[in-house]
Formats: sequence, C-alpha cells, structure tokens
Amino acid sequence: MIKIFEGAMGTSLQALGIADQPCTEYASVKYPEEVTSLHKSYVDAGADILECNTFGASPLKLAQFGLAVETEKINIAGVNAARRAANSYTEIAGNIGPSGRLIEPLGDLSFDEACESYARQIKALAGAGVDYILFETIIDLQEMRAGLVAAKAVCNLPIICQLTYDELGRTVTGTDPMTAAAVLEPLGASIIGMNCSLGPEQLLPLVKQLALATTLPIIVQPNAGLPIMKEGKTFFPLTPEEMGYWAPKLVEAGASIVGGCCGTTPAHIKAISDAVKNMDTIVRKILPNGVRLASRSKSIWLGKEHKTVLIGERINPSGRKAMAAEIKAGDFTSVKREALAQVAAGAGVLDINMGVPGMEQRELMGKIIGDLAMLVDVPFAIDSVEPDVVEAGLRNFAGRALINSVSDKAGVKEKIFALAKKYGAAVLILPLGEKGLPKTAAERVAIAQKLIAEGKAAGLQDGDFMLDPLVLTAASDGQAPVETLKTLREYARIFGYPTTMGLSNVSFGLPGREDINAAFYVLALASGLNAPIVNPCNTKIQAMTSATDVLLGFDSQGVNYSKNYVAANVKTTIVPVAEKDILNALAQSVMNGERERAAQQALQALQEGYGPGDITTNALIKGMNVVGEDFGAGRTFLPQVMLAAEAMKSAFDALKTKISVEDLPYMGKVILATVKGDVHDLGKNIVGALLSNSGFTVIDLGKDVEAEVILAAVEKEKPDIVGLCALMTTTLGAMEETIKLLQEKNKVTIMVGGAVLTQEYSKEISADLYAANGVQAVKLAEQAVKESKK
Amino acid sequence: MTVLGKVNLFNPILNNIDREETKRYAGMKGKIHFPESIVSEACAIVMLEKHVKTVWTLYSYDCVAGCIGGEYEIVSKMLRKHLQDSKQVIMLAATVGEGVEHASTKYFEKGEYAVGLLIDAAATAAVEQAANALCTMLAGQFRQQGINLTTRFSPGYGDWSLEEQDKVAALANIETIGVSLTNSKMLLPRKSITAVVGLRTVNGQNKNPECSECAKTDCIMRRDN
Repeated sequence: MIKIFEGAMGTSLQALGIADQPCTEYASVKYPEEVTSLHKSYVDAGADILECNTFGASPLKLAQFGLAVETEKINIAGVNAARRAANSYTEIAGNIGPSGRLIEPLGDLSFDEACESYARQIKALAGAGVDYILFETIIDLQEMRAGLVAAKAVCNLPIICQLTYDELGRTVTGTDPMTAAAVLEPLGASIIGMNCSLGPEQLLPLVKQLALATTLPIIVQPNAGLPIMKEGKTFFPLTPEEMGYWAPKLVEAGASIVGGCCGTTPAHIKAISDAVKNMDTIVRKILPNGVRLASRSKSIWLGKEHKTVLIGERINPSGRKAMAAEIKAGDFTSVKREALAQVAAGAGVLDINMGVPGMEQRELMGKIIGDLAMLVDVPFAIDSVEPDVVEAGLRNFAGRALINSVSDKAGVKEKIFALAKKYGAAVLILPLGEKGLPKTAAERVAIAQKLIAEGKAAGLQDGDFMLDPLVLTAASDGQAPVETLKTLREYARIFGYPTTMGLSNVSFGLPGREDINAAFYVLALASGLNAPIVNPCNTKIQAMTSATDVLLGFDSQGVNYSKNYVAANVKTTIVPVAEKDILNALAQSVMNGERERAAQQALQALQEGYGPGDITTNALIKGMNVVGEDFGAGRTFLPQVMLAAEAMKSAFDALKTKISVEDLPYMGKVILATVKGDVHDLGKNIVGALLSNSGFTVIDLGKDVEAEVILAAVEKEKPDIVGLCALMTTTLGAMEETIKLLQEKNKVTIMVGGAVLTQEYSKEISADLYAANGVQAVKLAEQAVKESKK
Repeated sequence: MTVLGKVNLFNPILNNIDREETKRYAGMKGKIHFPESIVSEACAIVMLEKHVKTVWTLYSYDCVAGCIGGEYEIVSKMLRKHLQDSKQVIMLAATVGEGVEHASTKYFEKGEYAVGLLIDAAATAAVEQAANALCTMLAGQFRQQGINLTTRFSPGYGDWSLEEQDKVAALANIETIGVSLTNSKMLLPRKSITAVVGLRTVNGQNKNPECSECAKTDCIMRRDN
C-alpha cells in the first residue's frame, strides 16, 4: 500500500491571505480554524499523513520575525491544528524546514547552533505528539546531518529526510540522491526522499537513482510542475489530472509515499491518491555488498564486488617533521598540497591523521576536515584512536567517513562504536587485543569477531565494518606476511567485509623496499584486500593497481589500464634542433621557451668561443625579437612571451656561472613602480621581467608607491628611464602628479603603461613614452637609451 | 522568503580551477603551443592559496527610477536596461583572498614568469567561478518562487563606471568577507568582485548584454562572436 502525504501548506495559506502575519507558521496561532480546515480538506482528499504548519518554526528561522521566544507555542499550535483535522488512522508529521543559513565552512552557522535550534523545535513537536519528524526542502547535506543528529538525541520518532534537488540532480551545495542515501541511511533516517523545486517529471529520474542506493522507504513530494510567473505571481502549472498521471510512475520507480509540495491543492492530492493508493510498492534491487563512504558530493563503494580503492596515507605528520612544524605554526599548505596531489593521483579516500606532538588534536582535526572538504571531493578516513578527536572530525565532515580505527581496548572501543552510530560513520576494525599483537590469523579473526559483535550490539550493521589484517615486518618475522595474507583470506571467508591495510611496514629494514611492497600488494589483492592505505602518488602502486584491476575483472578489456599506461609513458624528450649553428639554435630555444636547453646552449656557445655580447645580441635578443614581433602581430600570446623571457633568464644565469656580470651587455637602468593608490602589479612585473632579460638593470619599487618615494629613488639611482604603471581610471590622477613631481625636480625619461592608458592621455600628462604592452616597453626603452647616448 | 537587507554569507566549494578560462584570462586564444604543465601548476597553486568567500544582500529596485534600495540611483544605461524587468536585485561580492596575489609576485621574483602570469589568470578564473557558484545557488533558491535571475553585472562592465565601486561595495557588504576599498576605489584583495543580479518576475530569459554593444574593444574579457 502506498501512503499519501498532505499537499502544500505554505502556498495554500498564502492563497487564503493568512501566510504573512508575520509568518506562515504563526497562522496556526492566529487562525487555527483556518489551518485545521485546510488540513481537513487534505484528509478528505485521501492524505494518510498530515504535515504540521511548522516548516519555518525553528528558533533560528523564527528569530527573523522576532518570534524565537514563541518556538514551543507555535509548534504546539501547529501540531494541534493538524490533530484536530485527523481521522483515527491519520498520522501526523512534525514539519521542519531549513534554517535559512548555511553551516560552516560554507556559511557562518556552526554545526552546534544548528543542532540546538533543531533540537528545540523537535522537542516541542515530539512533546505535542507527532508521529514522525519530517525534514523537508533541505538544500545542504550538512544541515540535514545536524537535524538528524539533533532528532536522534531528543526523540525516538521515525525521521523522514527530504532534500531538494535541481534539474541536474544535485542539491544547492552539490549532493546527489545516491550520496544522500549513503550518508543519511547509516545516520539513522527512517525514510528518505525529495520534495519541492521540481515537478514529478523532473523528479522521476532522481527517484530511480535513489531506489538503487537505499533499502529505506522512499518519499517524493513534487511541486505542481515548474513554477512560472503570471501577472506578477508565482504559478504552478500542473493540473490535478496531470499529477495523477505522473504519480504511478513515481511509485513504479520506487517511491512508497507520495505527496505534493508547492502549488498542490487537495484536488491534486485526491488525484494522486486515486491513482496510486492501491498500488504495491515495487520490490527493489538489492544493493551490492560492501561499505559505502561519501563526501558531500560523491559516494563510493568498497568491497569485493568493487574495484580497488586507494586510501591516501600522506596526510600524517608522524615522522614528517616539516609537515608537523608547519601545522604547529598554523600553516596547512603541505597538508592541502598532499590532499590535492593524492586525489589527482587517484586516491578514492584520504586518510587524515593530525598527530602533531604537543598539539591539541581535537580542534585541529575539526578544522582540517572542514578545510580539506572545501578542496577535494573524496571521502575521508579519520585517523585517530582518541574518541574526542574522532568526534571533532565526524561532526565537521558533511559526508560518511571511515573511523581509522578501533581495537579491543576497553573504555575506548565503546566510545568509538557509539560515535560511529551517532554520526553514521563506518569503522575500521584493528584486531589488536589488550595482550598485544596477535600472531596468528586465527587469533586476529577471533578478536575481529568479538569487536564486530560489540559493534553490532551498539547498533552498527554489516555495511559499517572494514577489517585490517595487521601488517608486520618481514625482516623480523619471516612468517608475518604469510599470516597477514592468511588473515585476509579468512576475513573474506568468514565476514565478507571490505579490507584495508597499510603496506609499507612489511618491508621495513629491507633494501629495495618498493619491490617488496609492490609484490606484497599484489599478493594481498589476490587474497582479498580491497582498499590499501598507500601513497597513491607512488608510480609502482599506481601501475600495480591499474594492472590488477584488469586481472581481477574490474577493467573490462583493459581500457583504463591502456589509458593509464599511455599517460604514464609519455616521455617529454627534447627534440633535437636541426639548426647547426649554436647561436641560431639558442635563438630558437628562446623562441620556444625552452629553459633547460637555452642554458645548455648558452654554455656551449661560450665554449665554442663566442663572447657574451655576441651570445646576447645574436642569439638571445634575436630570439626574443622574433617572439616580440609575433606577439605584436597576434601570432603568439603573452604567456609564450614570458616563457621566452624565462629561457633568456636561464641562459643568462648559466652564463653568469662562467663569466662576471660586468662582461654581459648593459643597456641601462630602469626604475619601475605602480603609482600611488593602485594595487595592481602584474603588468609592472611583466615589464620588469622582460626588461631585466634584455640587459637592463631593473629596480622595482612595487605597487601603491608615493610620488616622493619614486623621486627619492630617481635621485639616488639616477636611472635612464622611470616606468610608471596605472591600471584603473581612478589612479590616473596619481600618475599625472607623479610625473609632474619627477619633471620638476629631475630630468629623466618617463615611460607609462597600464590598462586604462592611451597614447593621447600619456601626452596629456606629459609622459615621454607610452608602451601598450611589455614587448613594446622593451623596444621603447632600448631606443630611448640609444638616443640619449648619441 | 529572503529578507531585504539581510547579509547572507556563502563560501562555495571549488574543487578545481577552470583551465580554459585561465588560459583565456592569460590572453591565449585558440590552439597554441604552450606547456599544459604550466597551466596545471598555476591552477594547483591557486587551489592551495585561495580563500573563497562570497556575500549577497537582497534589495528592492525601482526600475522606473533606476534606484537600488532607495539609495543608489543607477546612471549606467546598460545596467538600467539589464535590470528593466526587475523589482528586486541582489548585490553580491566574491573574493579568493590575497594569498594568490603573493603567490603570483613570488613566482615573478623567482624568474618563473609564465607561472606567475598564469597564477594571476587562474585567480581571476577562481573568483569568477566563486561568483558563478553563488549565482547558481541563488538561481536554484529563487526558481522555487518562479523567479529568474539576470546574469551578473559588475562596475566596469560597459558604461557602468568603476567610479561607482564605493556605492556598490557598500550595498554588497564587502567588509563581511574581508574585502575593503582603497581611496582610489579598488577592491582589496585584488581578486575580488562586486556585482548586481536582477530578480526577474517575467518569464523567459532576458537577453544578456553582448560584447558587441560595449565600447571597450580592448577588453580582455571580450568574446568575439
């Protein structure tokens, strides 16, 4: 039997003209009869479950109307208004909508504040006797998590979780239905689904997706089509008949509870009820075995039916002094770099360990989990055995994480299992007993068995466990790897849960560790390892993973393997240049922007007897001139010009190792500055780079430079040219003043440039030279110096 | 329902920097010979150094008087045309922080000019992506009420003078995301933007202003059709 949910409340109350006094929810207090009467019309239309008029009645939302203090009153009034309309079999859902603010780090609301606000509303609803807690129109997974955590803490009612998706099948903050299922089901949702934003036609494919991803009942409450504007008012176009047409399709796709959202009326609900009430819920395809982990926007499976997932091990300051020191100083650059590099290398999960000696880990873990989730989209494994550190990580992670790990340690394991249950996390079982390291596979299996039983007693289920077989060092115990592999096979035979382990311990103390690790890796995969904890940037690991995916049947016809192989084996070889003359060859390298080759060739030219002047003029500058001409003609672009300048620089740097700087050609001295009030320095930097590689000595005064500072520098350095830059119309005045001051006090050639400058304007402000771009600036500087020397 | 004048913060997630946009901002057009590794390096550096924040505020708009929130009268003809069907507007600001600027300068100082240049371009791409993410989020929220959003329009576009930046910045509440204005009306950090988006209560898309309508023929953002 399909259950029917009540239709729209907000839009219906709006139609009655009682929705904004001052808010929709307050109508239950001010106009209880009207609200009850609306509920009644839905009961008459066939609704089995009513939704209280409490959507925006969380204290956070009510605060917008100065009504937070009346939270309890408004919620109770909402429940009572529905209750009065109910039949003996009608159920009532306490309706809860979004807080209107986003949770950190996406917004400024803390997870705790969100939980508190929801808890207060839920207590009021539960106290007033609702049958369900219903979250609806939630746009952010983290907010739904906060709501679920709050609901579980203050009541035992079944919880319905409805997210709102866009046409692309994602919530505003990027969650798809499969990911929502992966996170919300283990977190304790009783029913999951979607409402609002889209009509039944657009929600149909999303219901199908969800049906593949959850065993929970599915609820769907579409709008009456996509809204359109009609005479300045929002209008939902689908007729009751049209809703009645779509409703059976939603049931066939997997929904077992159907209702309506914006724009639906009792007539729509009646049509839906008539169409689906007597249909049966479909039998859904059983989910694959394994453990699911998720980030906010992505879910992955781990287990024997799925290809190998690499868990990146690099975010771990233990034994990495530089990373530990950085973290201590509040700098997370290395951590972020490792996160990006590992994900780019194919890590499916990142292990996060914040074990920095002498630092409070709890806060650190919470912060880094939040920060990294803004950077990469893979799920995390929270690597700590301290319950408070684990909790800080779990709370801030808008997804389903893996806790790495729990062992048979009384006083800790209970807390870890409780946290896994509370936050819907998976947990990695490490078969360490209180007596130390168990030697044999049989002992490890026994400890794992005990821990799994305890975890299940704490409310965890089959899809929540991963197992570690323990990896010990081969050099100290020759049988240790054999026992690890045996444990993997036993785990697969007895439990069938996905397995993980860190590889590298096995080779400790042996030479050529990479080979041992790689061989052990392959043997372990063959014995049932699913998700190794490794350095995913290691090319051997990458190659073995790619190859074993083919051999274990996860890469049909080796398509991915072939792609990876090609990508890994593209060699960037320096193509030999046909040019025999070394100066021409060097010019060519400058034109191509080839740094290494330019450096080699500059030295070779020196060896062949060419002087620095010759090399500069007939190779480097010659090459650069061609690039400059091409740039002027639009054949090459600025980044290529900069590469050519880099090649010149590397040639000069190479020459400077063999000859003294004085032997290099000297063109003149230039002072560069961006004028007062202007904070742009890219253009100036480009000009500086090109000039300094064309034989000029460049003194860069930076950006936002006072006219007096420039004058002082001119008097001290006596340059041939002063280059001034201004990017915006608002700083042209400062440029003019600077020029005036310089010309009053000093006779120096002034060159100007910058986005807003033109030839005409430069004349108006009495600049000597105007350069439209960096290439031109070098040319003009060369000419100016030559002329002044005449 | 969104409250007029309420300051709303949103820090969008950027999992990548748009490489093609980065190249475009660096001035590269069409298929050219340039090492992709340099583009990757610059994008990776911006991924590390960015601190993405956005803020938005809803105001009433008088489309006859061209006045936002009863206090800012629009002079720009193109902007007035852009907002002609709107009764409310959103003033927004986005930034990727100042770390990206320091990174660009650092690479210039090291003599890695191309990376320095590309970092600047990637940071521009990032702040545009941040503003786009905010607008996508807003579009999703307002669509539920049958409201469409116009594309965003910033001071400096077309005939909307940069001189107006101070008024726009104040309405956009830039200080809430750590952005300030210099005396010469520039946004700091440099990779920050302000913009206005109109809420359209009529159906269908409004025609975005074309680059061909704009007098700035040397604009790096200009798209040739």
